[in-house]
Amino acid sequence: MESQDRDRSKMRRSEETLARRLGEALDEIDARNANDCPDGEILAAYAEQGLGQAETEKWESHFATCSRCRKILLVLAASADTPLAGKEVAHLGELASAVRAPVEITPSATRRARPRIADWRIRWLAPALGVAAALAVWFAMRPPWRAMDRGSSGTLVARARQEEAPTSEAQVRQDKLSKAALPQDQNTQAAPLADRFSANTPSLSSPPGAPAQRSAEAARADKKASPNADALAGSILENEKNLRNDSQKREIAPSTNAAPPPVLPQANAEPEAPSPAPPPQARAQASAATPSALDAPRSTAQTVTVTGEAPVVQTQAGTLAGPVTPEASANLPLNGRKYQALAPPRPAGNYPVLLQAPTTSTLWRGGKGGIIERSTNAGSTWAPQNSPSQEDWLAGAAVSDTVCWLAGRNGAIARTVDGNRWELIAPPAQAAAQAGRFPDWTGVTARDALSAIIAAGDGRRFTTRDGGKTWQAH
Amino acid sequence: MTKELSFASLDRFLEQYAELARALHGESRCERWGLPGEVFAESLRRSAEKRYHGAQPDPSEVEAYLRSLHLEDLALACACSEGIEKAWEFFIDHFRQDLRAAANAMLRGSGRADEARAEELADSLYAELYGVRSGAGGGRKSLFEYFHGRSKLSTWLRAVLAQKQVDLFRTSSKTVSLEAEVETEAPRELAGRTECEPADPDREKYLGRLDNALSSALASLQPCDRMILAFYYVDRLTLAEIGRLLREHESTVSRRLDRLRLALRESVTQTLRRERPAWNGCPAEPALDAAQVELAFEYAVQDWPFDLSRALAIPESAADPPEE
Repeated sequence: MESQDRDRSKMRRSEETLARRLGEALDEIDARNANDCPDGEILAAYAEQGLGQAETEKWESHFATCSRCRKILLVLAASADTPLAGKEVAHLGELASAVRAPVEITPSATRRARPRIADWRIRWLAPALGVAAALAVWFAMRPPWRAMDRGSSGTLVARARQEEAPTSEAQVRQDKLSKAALPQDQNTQAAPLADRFSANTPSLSSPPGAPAQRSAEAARADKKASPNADALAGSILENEKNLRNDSQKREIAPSTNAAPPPVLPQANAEPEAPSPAPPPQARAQASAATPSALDAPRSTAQTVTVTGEAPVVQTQAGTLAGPVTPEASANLPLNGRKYQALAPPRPAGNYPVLLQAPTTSTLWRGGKGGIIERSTNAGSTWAPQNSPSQEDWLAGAAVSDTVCWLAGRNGAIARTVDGNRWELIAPPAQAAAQAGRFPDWTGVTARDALSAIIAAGDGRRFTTRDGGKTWQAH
Repeated sequence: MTKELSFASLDRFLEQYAELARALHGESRCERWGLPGEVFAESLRRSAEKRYHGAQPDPSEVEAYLRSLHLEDLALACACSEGIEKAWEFFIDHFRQDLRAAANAMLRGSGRADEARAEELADSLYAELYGVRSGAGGGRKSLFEYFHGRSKLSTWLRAVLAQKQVDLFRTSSKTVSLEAEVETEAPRELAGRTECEPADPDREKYLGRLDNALSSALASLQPCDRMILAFYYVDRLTLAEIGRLLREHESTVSRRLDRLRLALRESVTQTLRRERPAWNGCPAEPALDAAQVELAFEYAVQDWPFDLSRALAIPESAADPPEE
């Protein structure tokens, strides 16, 4: 068997040598006289297979010895698929240019640089003020008994006195900018807050019991909201309070009153961010003052609710505090871990074939149009490789970090033995249908660079033990 | 007295093909551009003249040829060559963008994709099509005069553009650094052979026999097969690229190459296994046995400066003695 393989290998090598030498020799007698080359019309007619047989043979004899003409044919073929794509590209270009107007650099623009920076700050200020106003109104609209309903959640309520002076614009701006530094938290919390706000907004046409009903609905919405929503909202307003006149008295729990400079509770933040979580048992004593009616922002009559609650996961003691919800586990800090590295690779998008070499971090992926890419760092980065085929890859087998097989549509089979260069393997001739079409290969198993089994979509299987030179049907 | 060729002049052409020219004039929808019938007939005559190169084909063959032309494209090209404004407007609307896209694709394929460069390449052709370069007589000579309708106008435009781009690239790459030249001329390593091994005295003889055998095999190859060999082994095209050129599936190209290699080897083997009698001044050479044939192939794998031009310089009649 081995001697047969050797003989076949030797024979193949000599065949390859003969053909290669002949090809090189053809190139060496490159046509010296450019007048022998056909004009554009002959080339175009040849490309369209519009020449007669005699003419075709005549020019093909010339093309075999003329690298210039072969290059022209290649370039011509490469441009064959462009007309439709070119129109699409041009249309897309027009759309893009319409959307993005070119910025003209004028002398006046440079002079406006400084005011533009201020404009940038003011642009941030406007939405931040709006958010603060909405929050203030929402808190103002909440009736006082809401604090008692949510007693089990450990909400701390801090209520501003009515005689509080309006906050200066600079102080509010600074506060809003600090909030803007954590857009993630705001985004995660914005929805629940908006829902609660809309639930609490009184309607002129609503029945008398509607406010209470809406409050109850808001309470239910509160319970469904993120556990940190109240803490966040309270801390925002707590920060506002800290910027106001210190002489004003507030009926806030000493623990929260003595809180450090404005830092928002970040139970789901990055581990490196400072996150002094509110004390679990802290509970502010809400003032008995009833909340005022809906006031304008920075009103002196505002109700502030500061809540502190038990952290999601008890990390101070080893006792079990209860089940961790999926949402909570998703919000746990990762401490630098990347869980994606633990998950098995899943093919996605244009790469239906994803292969991992055993015991290495080498991956291959293949997909539509014959695309092949390799990663040597477990998928962090991918490098494209020259594919010997333009057929879609449907299956593969990675034997090691240098040997890999791919199989795809229309009988396409490819293999690499050095991890970089891919060669096309001729499919088994007996697999071809009567019309000469090969099946789509939907499965590949390989033992090494020489031995592999391919499976067609119709269930037929073929085995090779010589790297694809010969195949046996099962 | 030699008979004047049918395509020598328009009058002579119309004597024989006037009715056909009128029919084709109608099919080509020349009325869109207001192209006179005589002008279109002249373009038909030039097309036939170029096709038959002074030969006198059968009229039915000429008629079949003329009917196979892309008449509408030929009419448009003719109208543009005549400077008809309506035709130029149509050409600009329908072809200019495709021309730029084709130029972009060509430059992208050579790794020099650049919108500005593509536009420049396309527009340079556009200018030649319009005929800004004056002819020998000082008049405007349009590149459209070289289009004879044997292919689609869009394909012809791409072919002309491809010629320009390849010639431009070849001209710019002709200056090669000395280091690069030295690298390309480095001798191939002799695989499997050390300097200490004494050369086989029969090696040159075997390689010479191989030269002749391969030359004979080459003569028996179809032109397309020779072209495929050149594409694959010289231009290093992939099977898919060759398939696209030949409008075949790459697996078909792969099988074709396999058959080609096998056929070459069998042809060479058969030639080597035959006795070569003395002929035309060349001494007789005995047939090689199987082991000697394998040895000859072994030498070829190691190092074989096969010179096809030398082989082709030998007249075909002298390359191999006739079969007895």
